[in-house]
Amino acid sequence: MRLSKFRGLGLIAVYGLFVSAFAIGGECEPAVDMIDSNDAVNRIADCDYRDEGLNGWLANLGSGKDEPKPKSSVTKQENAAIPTSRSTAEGFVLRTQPAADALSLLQQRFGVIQQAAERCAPGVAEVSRQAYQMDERGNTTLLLEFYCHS
Amino acid sequence: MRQWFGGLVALSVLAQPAVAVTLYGKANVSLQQADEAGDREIELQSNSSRIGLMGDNAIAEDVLVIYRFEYETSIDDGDKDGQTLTQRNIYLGIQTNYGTLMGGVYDSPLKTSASKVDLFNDMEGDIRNIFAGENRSKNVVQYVSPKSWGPITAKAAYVTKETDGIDGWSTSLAYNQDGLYLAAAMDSNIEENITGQKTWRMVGSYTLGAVMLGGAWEKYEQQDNEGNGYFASAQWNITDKWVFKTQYGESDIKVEGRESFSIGGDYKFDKRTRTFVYYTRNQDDISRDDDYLGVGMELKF
Repeated sequence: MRLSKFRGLGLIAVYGLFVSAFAIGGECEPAVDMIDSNDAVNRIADCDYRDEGLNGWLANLGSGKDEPKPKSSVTKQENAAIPTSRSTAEGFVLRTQPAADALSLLQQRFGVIQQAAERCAPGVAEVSRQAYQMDERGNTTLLLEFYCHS
Repeated sequence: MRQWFGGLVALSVLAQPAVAVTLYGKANVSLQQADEAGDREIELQSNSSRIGLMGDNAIAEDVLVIYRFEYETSIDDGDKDGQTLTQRNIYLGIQTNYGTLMGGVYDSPLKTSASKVDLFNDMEGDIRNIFAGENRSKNVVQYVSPKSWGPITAKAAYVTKETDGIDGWSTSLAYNQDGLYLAAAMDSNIEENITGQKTWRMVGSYTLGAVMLGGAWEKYEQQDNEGNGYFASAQWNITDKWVFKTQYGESDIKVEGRESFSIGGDYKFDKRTRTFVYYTRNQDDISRDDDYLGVGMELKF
């Protein structure tokens, strides 16, 4: 496709502005690199991209947020606190990643509480209900429902 | 009590993650001056920009159903082979502790064996300029060894070529650990409407600190033609932001005396976004005497 030099450079600049809206950092390699690697099928379950980049932006549409929240990604094995959330009419629910051991679950609980407190700031976050769920691999997920109070 | 239990169930359902779907892709576009045998022009190029969906779903203990749907789109003019989107790797598979079995359209094991060393992949300097075997076959049934094999990955693909009726196969064995990557691959009758085709490929790379050195060798034969070639690449991560890279390959597989040389640099804004500059020269003894100088940008998501 032939273009004048200035028109082409303009398109590059506009494209750059567009892509910067989705540029975030993290530890897992981008999904497109992972899936192109020689052993990709054995790595699909390694990294959780649900809150990453465009996926995070789409997920946040459901909770009324416009922008993805910059956050480092971690592997599922590390089981760090990457809560996924969905607002209820009165409050909101946060959940941890499936945890294989008690320490991991406790660490993730701390992360979830931090996020809830941040969301409710300058008010306080009240835990109204909690639930635990076990998946088919025996890992435990913690679900917490919060209400914000001023 | 019933109310509390009901509440927990509702809470659980409310926070249940959606079906495991990851949207991924990349947009890669460059502006280049192309000098193809004396015919000079400025081009805006879309370099295999793509969008895809992938994910998995556990159907039993240690049994996952995996899938991938990937399509290419042209950022430059919206026209990819007459369509807006064209099919790339697409498969549905089942993964257990004994490995993964999948069916669909997929890059051959021989092709994916060299993905680590081709530093100008999808660009004018792509390894496909000098090597055969860069095939994405249709109607593929492929087995991949399980993760429990550690650094070793074995692949075997069977291609039910429904166009010419000559079924083909492709295999690879790779070792990847502590910065060392070694792979051997072979395929047979993968190409459409060519009989007696066989390709052998050896690949290696070693990463030591900020430097990665790679190389590959290939031998190709079919009923009317045969040839071999080699390829070498080097990448230096000068800082976290700046990358220098170059590669050179030579073969008589596709055309007698084909050479491809590329040199370039990347500036990484973050792990997803980079801008780059490159120079590529592709030439041979018969048809090509081409130079490309370009600058571009890439976003991975």
